[in-house]
Amino acid sequence: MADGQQQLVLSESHDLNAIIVEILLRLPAKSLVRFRCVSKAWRDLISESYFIKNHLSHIDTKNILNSKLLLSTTPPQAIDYAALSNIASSNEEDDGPVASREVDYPVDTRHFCLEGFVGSCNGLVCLLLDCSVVLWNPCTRVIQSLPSPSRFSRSCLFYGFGYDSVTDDCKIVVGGYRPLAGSGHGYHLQHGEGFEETMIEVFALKTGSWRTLERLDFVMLFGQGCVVNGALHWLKHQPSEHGLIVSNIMCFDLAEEKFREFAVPCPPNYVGRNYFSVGIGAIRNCLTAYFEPRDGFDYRMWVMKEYGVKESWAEIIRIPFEVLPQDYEICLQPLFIFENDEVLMNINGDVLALYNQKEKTFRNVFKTHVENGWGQTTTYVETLVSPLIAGAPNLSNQHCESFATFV
Amino acid sequence: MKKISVRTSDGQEFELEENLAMESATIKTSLDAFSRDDIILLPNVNSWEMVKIIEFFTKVQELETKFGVKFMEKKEGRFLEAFQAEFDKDLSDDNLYCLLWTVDYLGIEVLLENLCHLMAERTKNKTVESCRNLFGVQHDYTPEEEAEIREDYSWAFEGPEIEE
Repeated sequence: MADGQQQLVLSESHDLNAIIVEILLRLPAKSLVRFRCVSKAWRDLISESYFIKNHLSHIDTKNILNSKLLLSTTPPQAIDYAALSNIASSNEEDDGPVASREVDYPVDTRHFCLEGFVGSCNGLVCLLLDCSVVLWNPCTRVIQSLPSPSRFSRSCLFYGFGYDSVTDDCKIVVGGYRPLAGSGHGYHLQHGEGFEETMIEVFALKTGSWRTLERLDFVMLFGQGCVVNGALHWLKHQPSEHGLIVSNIMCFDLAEEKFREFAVPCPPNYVGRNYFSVGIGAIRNCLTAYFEPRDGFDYRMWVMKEYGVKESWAEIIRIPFEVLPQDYEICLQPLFIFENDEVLMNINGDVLALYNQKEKTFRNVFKTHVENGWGQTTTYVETLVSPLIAGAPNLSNQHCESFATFV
Repeated sequence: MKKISVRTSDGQEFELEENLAMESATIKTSLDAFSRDDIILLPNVNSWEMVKIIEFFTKVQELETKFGVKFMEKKEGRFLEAFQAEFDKDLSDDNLYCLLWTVDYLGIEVLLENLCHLMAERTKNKTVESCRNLFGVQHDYTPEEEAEIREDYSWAFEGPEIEE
Protein backbone atom coordinates (compact mmCIF):
# COMPACT_ATOMS: atom_id res chain seq x y z
CA MET A 1 0.00 0.00 0.00
CA ALA A 2 2.91 2.29 0.49
CA ASP A 3 3.95 2.38 -3.17
CA GLY A 4 3.32 5.60 -4.86
CA GLN A 5 3.68 7.70 -1.72
CA GLN A 6 4.82 11.16 -2.55
CA GLN A 7 5.83 14.00 -0.36
CA LEU A 8 4.41 17.09 -2.00
CA VAL A 9 6.26 20.21 -1.09
CA LEU A 10 4.44 23.46 -1.55
CA SER A 11 6.26 26.42 -2.86
CA GLU A 12 6.46 29.52 -0.75
CA SER A 13 4.05 31.41 -2.89
CA HIS A 14 0.78 32.62 -1.44
CA ASP A 15 -1.15 30.60 -3.93
CA LEU A 16 -1.94 27.53 -1.96
CA ASN A 17 -3.09 24.66 -4.10
CA ALA A 18 -6.81 24.29 -4.52
CA ILE A 19 -6.97 21.01 -2.64
CA ILE A 20 -5.47 22.48 0.50
CA VAL A 21 -7.93 25.33 0.29
CA GLU A 22 -10.83 22.86 0.02
CA ILE A 23 -9.59 20.99 3.05
CA LEU A 24 -9.10 24.15 5.10
CA LEU A 25 -12.59 25.36 4.23
CA ARG A 26 -13.98 22.27 5.93
CA LEU A 27 -12.05 22.64 9.16
CA PRO A 28 -13.59 23.99 12.35
CA ALA A 29 -12.66 27.57 13.19
CA LYS A 30 -10.61 26.53 16.22
CA SER A 31 -8.33 24.40 14.02
CA LEU A 32 -7.90 27.27 11.58
CA VAL A 33 -6.96 29.68 14.35
CA ARG A 34 -4.23 27.21 15.33
CA PHE A 35 -3.16 26.55 11.74
CA ARG A 36 -2.37 30.19 11.13
CA CYS A 37 0.85 29.06 12.76
CA VAL A 38 1.63 26.52 10.03
CA SER A 39 3.08 29.09 7.67
CA LYS A 40 2.64 32.70 6.63
CA ALA A 41 0.90 31.64 3.44
CA TRP A 42 -1.65 29.68 5.50
CA ARG A 43 -2.08 32.65 7.83
CA ASP A 44 -2.70 34.96 4.89
CA LEU A 45 -5.22 32.61 3.32
CA ILE A 46 -7.09 32.06 6.58
CA SER A 47 -7.38 35.83 7.10
CA GLU A 48 -8.72 36.59 3.65
CA SER A 49 -12.32 37.76 3.65
CA TYR A 50 -13.41 35.57 0.70
CA PHE A 51 -11.99 32.55 2.51
CA ILE A 52 -13.75 33.51 5.72
CA LYS A 53 -17.05 34.00 3.94
CA ASN A 54 -16.70 30.70 2.10
CA HIS A 55 -15.72 28.97 5.35
CA LEU A 56 -18.85 30.32 7.01
CA SER A 57 -21.00 28.80 4.30
CA HIS A 58 -19.55 25.36 5.12
CA ILE A 59 -20.66 25.57 8.74
CA ASP A 60 -24.02 24.07 9.53
CA THR A 61 -25.16 26.84 11.87
CA LYS A 62 -28.51 25.16 12.40
CA ASN A 63 -26.92 22.12 13.98
CA ILE A 64 -26.80 22.75 17.72
CA LEU A 65 -23.84 20.41 18.05
CA ASN A 66 -21.75 23.07 16.34
CA SER A 67 -22.77 25.73 18.83
CA LYS A 68 -21.51 26.95 22.15
CA LEU A 69 -23.58 28.29 25.02
CA LEU A 70 -22.07 31.53 26.28
CA LEU A 71 -22.72 32.66 29.83
CA SER A 72 -22.45 36.34 30.73
CA THR A 73 -20.05 35.84 33.62
CA THR A 74 -16.91 37.97 33.72
CA PRO A 75 -15.06 36.69 31.81
CA PRO A 76 -17.70 34.89 29.78
CA GLN A 77 -17.71 31.10 29.89
CA ALA A 78 -18.47 28.85 26.95
CA ILE A 79 -19.98 25.38 27.09
CA ASP A 80 -20.11 23.03 24.11
CA TYR A 81 -23.57 21.89 23.15
CA ALA A 82 -21.91 18.73 21.84
CA ALA A 83 -20.70 17.97 25.37
CA LEU A 84 -24.18 18.68 26.77
CA SER A 85 -25.69 16.44 24.14
CA ASN A 86 -23.34 13.60 25.13
CA ILE A 87 -24.43 13.94 28.73
CA ALA A 88 -28.07 14.00 27.69
CA SER A 89 -27.80 10.84 25.63
CA SER A 90 -25.64 8.92 28.05
CA ASN A 91 -28.11 9.04 30.92
CA GLU A 92 -25.45 8.09 33.41
CA GLU A 93 -26.20 9.43 36.85
CA ASP A 94 -22.58 9.81 37.74
CA ASP A 95 -21.49 11.85 34.74
CA GLY A 96 -19.31 14.66 35.91
CA PRO A 97 -20.41 18.22 35.26
CA VAL A 98 -19.94 19.50 31.75
CA ALA A 99 -16.73 21.43 31.17
CA SER A 100 -16.79 25.14 30.58
CA ARG A 101 -14.08 27.25 29.08
CA GLU A 102 -13.32 30.77 30.18
CA VAL A 103 -13.24 32.58 26.89
CA ASP A 104 -10.25 34.77 26.24
CA TYR A 105 -11.90 38.12 26.76
CA PRO A 106 -9.91 41.11 25.54
CA VAL A 107 -11.66 43.66 27.74
CA ASP A 108 -10.31 45.40 30.80
CA THR A 109 -12.85 44.08 33.27
CA ARG A 110 -11.84 46.56 35.97
CA HIS A 111 -13.22 49.39 33.88
CA PHE A 112 -15.83 47.85 31.67
CA CYS A 113 -18.79 46.00 33.06
CA LEU A 114 -20.55 43.40 30.95
CA GLU A 115 -24.19 44.45 31.08
CA GLY A 116 -25.47 41.76 28.80
CA PHE A 117 -25.53 40.00 25.49
CA VAL A 118 -27.43 41.60 22.69
CA GLY A 119 -27.17 38.29 20.83
CA SER A 120 -25.06 36.41 18.36
CA CYS A 121 -24.93 36.11 14.60
CA ASN A 122 -22.51 34.30 12.26
CA GLY A 123 -20.09 33.76 15.11
CA LEU A 124 -20.09 37.38 16.25
CA VAL A 125 -21.32 38.11 19.75
CA CYS A 126 -22.75 41.55 20.40
CA LEU A 127 -22.16 42.80 23.93
CA LEU A 128 -23.43 45.66 26.01
CA LEU A 129 -20.43 46.99 27.87
CA ASP A 130 -21.49 49.77 30.17
CA CYS A 131 -23.14 52.09 27.64
CA SER A 132 -21.32 50.79 24.59
CA VAL A 133 -22.39 48.30 22.02
CA VAL A 134 -19.49 46.06 21.13
CA LEU A 135 -18.99 43.32 18.53
CA TRP A 136 -16.72 40.45 19.42
CA ASN A 137 -15.60 37.22 17.86
CA PRO A 138 -14.78 34.89 20.79
CA CYS A 139 -12.84 32.62 18.47
CA THR A 140 -10.46 35.12 16.89
CA ARG A 141 -10.55 37.51 19.87
CA VAL A 142 -11.10 40.52 17.63
CA ILE A 143 -13.30 43.14 19.22
CA GLN A 144 -14.83 46.29 17.80
CA SER A 145 -16.75 48.93 19.64
CA LEU A 146 -19.53 50.45 17.60
CA PRO A 147 -20.45 54.10 17.40
CA SER A 148 -23.09 54.93 20.01
CA PRO A 149 -26.68 54.83 18.91
CA SER A 150 -27.62 58.47 18.47
CA ARG A 151 -30.61 58.55 20.76
CA PHE A 152 -29.43 56.63 23.70
CA SER A 153 -27.11 58.29 26.10
CA ARG A 154 -27.86 55.63 28.66
CA SER A 155 -28.18 51.91 28.33
CA CYS A 156 -30.81 50.75 25.97
CA LEU A 157 -33.70 48.84 27.43
CA PHE A 158 -34.28 46.19 24.83
CA TYR A 159 -32.07 44.83 22.12
CA GLY A 160 -31.38 41.97 19.76
CA PHE A 161 -28.99 40.73 17.07
CA GLY A 162 -29.98 38.62 14.11
CA TYR A 163 -29.50 37.74 10.48
CA ASP A 164 -31.40 39.32 7.59
CA SER A 165 -31.42 36.85 4.72
CA VAL A 166 -32.61 39.44 2.22
CA THR A 167 -29.53 41.62 2.54
CA ASP A 168 -27.30 38.75 3.75
CA ASP A 169 -26.32 40.92 6.67
CA CYS A 170 -26.43 40.84 10.44
CA LYS A 171 -28.39 43.56 12.19
CA ILE A 172 -28.24 44.88 15.73
CA VAL A 173 -31.43 46.41 17.09
CA VAL A 174 -31.52 48.55 20.23
CA GLY A 175 -34.50 50.30 21.71
CA GLY A 176 -35.65 52.49 24.52
CA TYR A 177 -38.48 54.80 25.48
CA ARG A 178 -38.82 58.52 25.24
CA PRO A 179 -40.67 60.21 28.05
CA LEU A 180 -43.53 62.57 27.38
CA ALA A 181 -42.38 66.10 26.91
CA GLY A 182 -42.68 67.96 30.17
CA SER A 183 -43.04 64.85 32.27
CA GLY A 184 -39.58 65.47 33.73
CA HIS A 185 -38.94 62.76 36.21
CA GLY A 186 -42.55 61.82 36.37
CA TYR A 187 -42.26 58.53 34.58
CA HIS A 188 -42.21 55.14 36.12
CA LEU A 189 -40.75 52.20 34.37
CA GLN A 190 -42.49 49.96 36.84
CA HIS A 191 -45.90 51.34 35.98
CA GLY A 192 -45.31 52.16 32.36
CA GLU A 193 -46.43 55.69 32.84
CA GLY A 194 -45.19 58.89 31.36
CA PHE A 195 -43.72 57.63 28.13
CA GLU A 196 -44.60 58.91 24.74
CA GLU A 197 -42.94 56.65 22.31
CA THR A 198 -40.61 53.75 21.78
CA MET A 199 -37.48 54.37 19.75
CA ILE A 200 -35.60 51.81 17.77
CA GLU A 201 -32.21 52.05 16.17
CA VAL A 202 -30.82 49.50 13.76
CA PHE A 203 -27.18 48.87 12.92
CA ALA A 204 -26.69 46.78 9.81
CA LEU A 205 -23.08 45.60 9.80
CA LYS A 206 -22.56 46.24 6.11
CA THR A 207 -23.66 49.86 6.44
CA GLY A 208 -21.48 50.57 9.46
CA SER A 209 -23.90 53.07 10.97
CA TRP A 210 -27.06 53.40 13.04
CA ARG A 211 -30.40 54.22 11.53
CA THR A 212 -33.33 55.47 13.59
CA LEU A 213 -36.66 53.98 12.69
CA GLU A 214 -39.78 56.04 12.51
CA ARG A 215 -41.58 56.83 15.68
CA LEU A 216 -43.42 53.98 17.17
CA ASP A 217 -46.32 54.03 19.54
CA PHE A 218 -45.14 53.37 23.01
CA VAL A 219 -44.66 49.71 23.73
CA MET A 220 -42.81 48.36 26.75
CA LEU A 221 -40.26 45.79 25.79
CA PHE A 222 -37.32 44.58 27.85
CA GLY A 223 -34.09 42.77 27.51
CA GLN A 224 -32.67 40.39 24.96
CA GLY A 225 -34.87 39.57 22.00
CA CYS A 226 -34.93 36.02 20.74
CA VAL A 227 -34.44 35.20 17.08
CA VAL A 228 -36.92 32.97 15.29
CA ASN A 229 -37.63 32.87 11.61
CA GLY A 230 -35.59 35.96 10.78
CA ALA A 231 -37.29 38.11 13.39
CA LEU A 232 -36.57 39.35 16.90
CA HIS A 233 -39.16 38.76 19.61
CA TRP A 234 -39.83 40.44 22.93
CA LEU A 235 -42.66 40.24 25.39
CA LYS A 236 -44.86 43.28 25.42
CA HIS A 237 -45.72 44.55 28.85
CA GLN A 238 -48.45 46.84 29.96
CA PRO A 239 -49.58 48.32 33.20
CA SER A 240 -52.52 46.83 34.99
CA GLU A 241 -53.90 46.79 38.50
CA HIS A 242 -51.53 43.90 39.18
CA GLY A 243 -48.52 45.89 38.05
CA LEU A 244 -46.79 45.25 34.76
CA ILE A 245 -48.18 42.25 32.97
CA VAL A 246 -47.35 40.58 29.73
CA SER A 247 -49.92 41.08 27.04
CA ASN A 248 -48.49 39.99 23.72
CA ILE A 249 -45.37 39.08 21.83
CA MET A 250 -43.87 41.81 19.69
CA CYS A 251 -42.01 40.57 16.69
CA PHE A 252 -39.59 42.68 14.65
CA ASP A 253 -38.87 41.35 11.20
CA LEU A 254 -35.21 41.97 10.40
CA ALA A 255 -35.73 42.18 6.67
CA GLU A 256 -38.84 44.38 6.61
CA GLU A 257 -37.90 46.20 9.83
CA LYS A 258 -41.51 46.26 10.93
CA PHE A 259 -43.27 45.16 14.06
CA ARG A 260 -46.17 42.83 14.34
CA GLU A 261 -47.80 41.30 17.38
CA PHE A 262 -49.30 38.07 18.35
CA ALA A 263 -50.75 36.60 21.46
CA VAL A 264 -48.92 34.68 24.11
CA PRO A 265 -50.53 31.31 24.78
CA CYS A 266 -52.35 32.13 27.95
CA PRO A 267 -53.37 29.44 30.32
CA PRO A 268 -56.45 30.25 32.36
CA ASN A 269 -56.11 32.34 35.48
CA TYR A 270 -52.88 33.83 34.37
CA VAL A 271 -53.24 37.37 35.38
CA GLY A 272 -51.77 37.88 38.79
CA ARG A 273 -52.73 34.46 40.06
CA ASN A 274 -50.95 31.32 38.98
CA TYR A 275 -47.89 32.80 37.38
CA PHE A 276 -45.42 35.37 38.42
CA SER A 277 -43.44 35.50 35.22
CA VAL A 278 -43.58 34.70 31.54
CA GLY A 279 -40.60 34.20 29.32
CA ILE A 280 -40.06 33.52 25.66
CA GLY A 281 -37.25 31.82 23.86
CA ALA A 282 -36.17 30.13 20.66
CA ILE A 283 -35.61 26.39 20.53
CA ARG A 284 -34.86 24.63 17.23
CA ASN A 285 -36.05 27.75 15.45
CA CYS A 286 -39.46 27.63 17.09
CA LEU A 287 -40.80 30.26 19.43
CA THR A 288 -41.39 29.00 22.96
CA ALA A 289 -43.21 30.59 25.88
CA TYR A 290 -42.86 29.44 29.45
CA PHE A 291 -44.83 30.33 32.54
CA GLU A 292 -43.07 30.42 35.85
CA PRO A 293 -45.57 29.47 38.50
CA ARG A 294 -46.35 30.72 41.94
CA ASP A 295 -46.13 28.24 44.76
CA GLY A 296 -48.21 25.18 44.25
CA PHE A 297 -48.75 25.54 40.52
CA ASP A 298 -47.19 23.67 37.63
CA TYR A 299 -44.49 25.00 35.35
CA ARG A 300 -45.67 25.09 31.76
CA MET A 301 -43.98 25.51 28.45
CA TRP A 302 -45.56 26.05 25.06
CA VAL A 303 -44.15 25.99 21.58
CA MET A 304 -45.48 27.69 18.49
CA LYS A 305 -45.33 24.79 16.08
CA GLU A 306 -46.14 26.84 13.02
CA TYR A 307 -44.55 30.25 13.13
CA GLY A 308 -47.04 33.07 13.32
CA VAL A 309 -50.04 30.78 13.56
CA LYS A 310 -51.70 31.48 16.89
CA GLU A 311 -53.64 28.22 16.87
CA SER A 312 -50.43 26.26 16.62
CA TRP A 313 -49.34 27.05 20.18
CA ALA A 314 -49.06 23.68 21.90
CA GLU A 315 -48.24 22.93 25.49
CA ILE A 316 -45.31 20.55 25.37
CA ILE A 317 -43.98 20.51 28.88
CA ARG A 318 -45.74 20.58 32.19
CA ILE A 319 -43.67 20.12 35.29
CA PRO A 320 -45.60 19.39 38.46
CA PHE A 321 -44.83 21.78 41.25
CA GLU A 322 -43.45 19.02 43.53
CA VAL A 323 -40.86 18.11 40.95
CA LEU A 324 -39.42 21.60 40.56
CA PRO A 325 -35.89 21.97 41.95
CA GLN A 326 -35.68 22.99 45.58
CA ASP A 327 -33.37 25.87 44.89
CA TYR A 328 -35.45 27.33 42.09
CA GLU A 329 -36.02 30.94 42.99
CA ILE A 330 -35.60 33.46 40.22
CA CYS A 331 -35.90 31.69 36.93
CA LEU A 332 -36.25 28.35 35.23
CA GLN A 333 -35.49 29.05 31.61
CA PRO A 334 -35.57 26.34 28.95
CA LEU A 335 -32.59 26.60 26.62
CA PHE A 336 -32.80 23.55 24.40
CA ILE A 337 -34.52 20.20 23.96
CA PHE A 338 -32.25 17.32 23.01
CA GLU A 339 -33.07 14.37 20.75
CA ASN A 340 -33.98 12.24 23.76
CA ASP A 341 -36.46 14.92 24.86
CA GLU A 342 -34.41 16.03 27.85
CA VAL A 343 -34.70 19.75 28.38
CA LEU A 344 -31.65 21.86 29.14
CA MET A 345 -32.70 24.39 31.74
CA ASN A 346 -31.08 27.41 33.28
CA ILE A 347 -31.93 27.54 36.99
CA ASN A 348 -31.55 30.94 38.63
CA GLY A 349 -28.69 31.85 36.34
CA ASP A 350 -26.19 29.73 38.17
CA VAL A 351 -27.04 26.13 37.45
CA LEU A 352 -27.68 24.21 34.25
CA ALA A 353 -29.78 21.10 34.56
CA LEU A 354 -31.36 18.47 32.35
CA TYR A 355 -35.03 17.76 32.91
CA ASN A 356 -36.15 14.29 31.96
CA GLN A 357 -39.76 14.52 30.89
CA LYS A 358 -40.54 10.83 31.26
CA GLU A 359 -38.99 10.35 34.67
CA LYS A 360 -39.89 13.87 35.81
CA THR A 361 -36.48 14.38 37.31
CA PHE A 362 -33.86 17.07 37.17
CA ARG A 363 -30.14 16.41 37.14
CA ASN A 364 -27.60 19.17 37.40
CA VAL A 365 -24.93 19.29 34.72
CA PHE A 366 -23.19 22.55 35.48
CA LYS A 367 -22.83 24.96 38.32
CA THR A 368 -20.86 28.12 38.05
CA HIS A 369 -18.31 28.98 40.69
CA VAL A 370 -18.75 32.64 39.90
CA GLU A 371 -20.67 34.50 42.58
CA ASN A 372 -24.01 35.84 41.34
CA GLY A 373 -23.91 33.49 38.37
CA TRP A 374 -24.77 34.82 34.95
CA GLY A 375 -27.50 37.18 33.85
CA GLN A 376 -27.87 36.17 30.24
CA THR A 377 -26.85 33.58 27.75
CA THR A 378 -26.44 33.48 24.03
CA THR A 379 -25.60 30.71 21.62
CA TYR A 380 -22.85 31.15 19.07
CA VAL A 381 -20.92 29.14 16.49
CA GLU A 382 -17.17 29.44 16.09
CA THR A 383 -16.31 31.28 12.90
CA LEU A 384 -13.54 33.51 11.63
CA VAL A 385 -15.88 36.36 10.74
CA SER A 386 -14.37 39.72 11.54
CA PRO A 387 -16.33 42.20 13.63
CA LEU A 388 -14.33 45.11 12.27
CA ILE A 389 -16.52 47.72 10.69
CA ALA A 390 -14.88 49.59 7.87
CA GLY A 391 -14.72 53.24 8.73
CA ALA A 392 -16.12 52.88 12.24
CA PRO A 393 -13.98 54.97 14.51
CA ASN A 394 -12.83 53.53 17.74
CA LEU A 395 -14.69 55.91 19.93
CA SER A 396 -13.06 56.96 23.11
CA ASN A 397 -9.43 56.65 23.88
CA GLN A 398 -10.32 54.53 26.84
CA HIS A 399 -11.78 51.97 24.55
CA CYS A 400 -8.75 52.01 22.31
CA GLU A 401 -6.38 51.36 25.14
CA SER A 402 -8.38 48.76 26.89
CA PHE A 403 -9.61 46.68 24.03
CA ALA A 404 -6.95 44.61 22.46
CA THR A 405 -7.40 43.99 18.78
CA PHE A 406 -5.68 41.20 16.92
CA VAL A 407 -6.29 40.53 13.33
CA MET B 1 -22.43 -2.67 -20.20
CA LYS B 2 -19.37 -1.63 -22.06
CA LYS B 3 -16.09 -1.89 -20.22
CA ILE B 4 -13.32 0.64 -20.43
CA SER B 5 -9.74 -0.47 -19.88
CA VAL B 6 -7.26 1.66 -18.05
CA ARG B 7 -3.64 1.10 -17.22
CA THR B 8 -2.09 2.64 -14.12
CA SER B 9 1.44 3.96 -13.65
CA ASP B 10 2.73 0.64 -12.41
CA GLY B 11 1.49 -1.25 -15.42
CA GLN B 12 -1.61 -2.79 -13.96
CA GLU B 13 -4.75 -2.92 -16.03
CA PHE B 14 -8.29 -2.45 -14.79
CA GLU B 15 -11.66 -2.77 -16.43
CA LEU B 16 -14.20 -0.18 -15.48
CA GLU B 17 -17.85 -0.12 -16.35
CA GLU B 18 -18.46 2.65 -18.81
CA ASN B 19 -20.85 4.68 -16.66
CA LEU B 20 -18.39 4.65 -13.79
CA ALA B 21 -15.46 5.53 -16.01
CA MET B 22 -17.42 8.51 -17.26
CA GLU B 23 -17.60 9.88 -13.71
CA SER B 24 -14.00 10.84 -14.26
CA ALA B 25 -13.89 14.03 -16.30
CA THR B 26 -10.36 13.18 -17.38
CA ILE B 27 -11.25 9.71 -18.64
CA LYS B 28 -14.35 11.06 -20.32
CA THR B 29 -12.28 13.60 -22.22
CA SER B 30 -9.95 10.82 -23.36
CA LEU B 31 -12.85 8.67 -24.46
CA ASP B 32 -14.32 11.52 -26.45
CA ALA B 33 -11.01 11.95 -28.22
CA PHE B 34 -10.09 8.33 -28.79
CA SER B 35 -11.75 5.03 -29.49
CA ARG B 36 -13.31 3.18 -26.62
CA ASP B 37 -11.44 0.07 -27.51
CA ASP B 38 -8.12 1.62 -26.66
CA ILE B 39 -6.58 1.25 -23.27
CA ILE B 40 -6.45 4.56 -21.47
CA LEU B 41 -3.09 5.25 -19.89
CA LEU B 42 -3.12 6.88 -16.48
CA PRO B 43 0.49 7.62 -15.62
CA ASN B 44 -0.54 9.73 -12.65
CA VAL B 45 -2.58 7.03 -11.05
CA ASN B 46 -1.20 4.21 -8.99
CA SER B 47 -2.84 0.80 -8.88
CA TRP B 48 -3.67 0.97 -5.17
CA GLU B 49 -5.45 4.24 -5.85
CA MET B 50 -7.47 2.68 -8.65
CA VAL B 51 -8.43 -0.16 -6.32
CA LYS B 52 -9.74 2.36 -3.82
CA ILE B 53 -11.65 4.29 -6.44
CA ILE B 54 -13.31 1.13 -7.68
CA GLU B 55 -14.09 0.17 -4.08
CA PHE B 56 -15.79 3.53 -3.64
CA PHE B 57 -17.95 3.16 -6.74
CA THR B 58 -18.88 -0.39 -5.84
CA LYS B 59 -19.97 0.65 -2.39
CA VAL B 60 -21.94 3.60 -3.71
CA GLN B 61 -23.83 1.32 -6.07
CA GLU B 62 -24.63 -0.98 -3.16
CA LEU B 63 -25.94 1.94 -1.14
CA GLU B 64 -27.92 3.28 -4.08
CA THR B 65 -29.59 -0.07 -4.50
CA LYS B 66 -30.21 -0.38 -0.79
CA PHE B 67 -31.55 3.11 -0.16
CA GLY B 68 -32.92 3.95 -3.58
CA VAL B 69 -31.09 7.29 -3.72
CA LYS B 70 -29.05 8.29 -6.71
CA PHE B 71 -25.94 9.61 -4.99
CA MET B 72 -24.05 9.98 -8.23
CA GLU B 73 -26.70 12.09 -9.82
CA LYS B 74 -26.83 14.39 -6.84
CA LYS B 75 -23.06 14.85 -6.97
CA GLU B 76 -23.08 16.03 -3.42
CA GLY B 77 -23.56 14.88 0.09
CA ARG B 78 -21.38 13.04 2.46
CA PHE B 79 -22.60 9.59 1.95
CA LEU B 80 -19.09 8.42 2.58
CA GLU B 81 -20.07 8.48 6.25
CA ALA B 82 -22.06 5.34 5.60
CA PHE B 83 -18.93 3.34 4.94
CA GLN B 84 -16.22 5.67 6.12
CA ALA B 85 -14.89 3.33 8.76
CA GLU B 86 -14.31 0.60 6.21
CA PHE B 87 -13.06 2.82 3.46
CA ASP B 88 -10.43 4.68 5.36
CA LYS B 89 -9.21 2.20 7.93
CA ASP B 90 -6.26 1.12 5.83
CA LEU B 91 -5.48 4.55 4.46
CA SER B 92 -2.73 6.49 6.16
CA ASP B 93 -2.92 10.29 6.16
CA ASP B 94 -0.26 10.48 3.45
CA ASN B 95 -2.08 7.91 1.31
CA LEU B 96 -5.34 9.73 1.72
CA TYR B 97 -3.70 12.94 0.62
CA CYS B 98 -2.20 11.22 -2.44
CA LEU B 99 -5.56 9.72 -3.28
CA LEU B 100 -7.09 13.17 -3.03
CA TRP B 101 -4.65 14.51 -5.64
CA THR B 102 -5.29 11.56 -7.90
CA VAL B 103 -9.05 11.91 -7.68
CA ASP B 104 -8.65 15.60 -8.39
CA TYR B 105 -6.54 14.76 -11.44
CA LEU B 106 -9.15 12.30 -12.62
CA GLY B 107 -11.88 14.86 -12.03
CA ILE B 108 -14.24 12.62 -10.04
CA GLU B 109 -16.26 15.37 -8.38
CA VAL B 110 -18.40 13.33 -6.11
CA LEU B 111 -15.53 11.36 -4.60
CA LEU B 112 -13.43 14.51 -4.34
CA GLU B 113 -16.01 16.18 -2.11
CA ASN B 114 -16.12 13.16 0.15
CA LEU B 115 -12.37 12.84 0.35
CA CYS B 116 -11.94 16.54 1.17
CA HIS B 117 -14.35 16.06 4.03
CA LEU B 118 -12.51 12.95 5.15
CA MET B 119 -9.17 14.71 4.97
CA ALA B 120 -10.58 17.62 6.99
CA GLU B 121 -11.73 15.17 9.68
CA ARG B 122 -8.23 13.71 9.78
CA THR B 123 -6.62 17.13 9.92
CA LYS B 124 -8.77 19.11 12.31
CA ASN B 125 -7.23 17.80 15.52
CA LYS B 126 -3.63 17.78 14.37
CA THR B 127 -0.88 19.83 15.89
CA VAL B 128 0.78 22.50 13.81
CA GLU B 129 3.89 20.34 13.31
CA SER B 130 2.08 17.27 12.09
CA CYS B 131 0.02 19.45 9.77
CA ARG B 132 3.21 20.86 8.25
CA ASN B 133 4.59 17.37 7.77
CA LEU B 134 1.46 16.02 6.18
CA PHE B 135 1.08 18.80 3.65
CA GLY B 136 4.78 19.37 3.18
CA VAL B 137 4.68 23.00 4.23
CA GLN B 138 7.82 25.02 4.71
CA HIS B 139 8.08 26.46 8.20
CA ASP B 140 8.67 30.19 7.71
CA TYR B 141 7.97 31.81 11.06
CA THR B 142 10.77 32.84 13.35
CA PRO B 143 10.63 31.19 16.77
CA GLU B 144 9.57 34.53 18.29
CA GLU B 145 6.77 35.04 15.77
CA GLU B 146 5.47 31.55 16.34
CA ALA B 147 5.67 31.89 20.11
CA GLU B 148 3.63 35.07 19.94
CA ILE B 149 0.85 33.41 17.98
CA ARG B 150 0.80 30.45 20.35
CA GLU B 151 0.52 32.72 23.32
CA ASP B 152 -2.12 35.04 21.90
CA TYR B 153 -4.35 32.18 20.81
CA SER B 154 -3.37 29.64 23.42
CA TRP B 155 -6.92 28.33 23.67
CA ALA B 156 -6.73 27.00 20.10
CA PHE B 157 -3.65 24.99 20.98
CA GLU B 158 -5.23 23.34 23.98
CA GLY B 159 -7.95 20.79 24.37
CA PRO B 160 -8.42 17.08 24.86
CA GLU B 161 -9.24 16.59 21.21
CA ILE B 162 -5.86 17.75 19.92
CA GLU B 163 -3.64 14.81 18.95
CA GLU B 164 -0.16 14.59 20.33
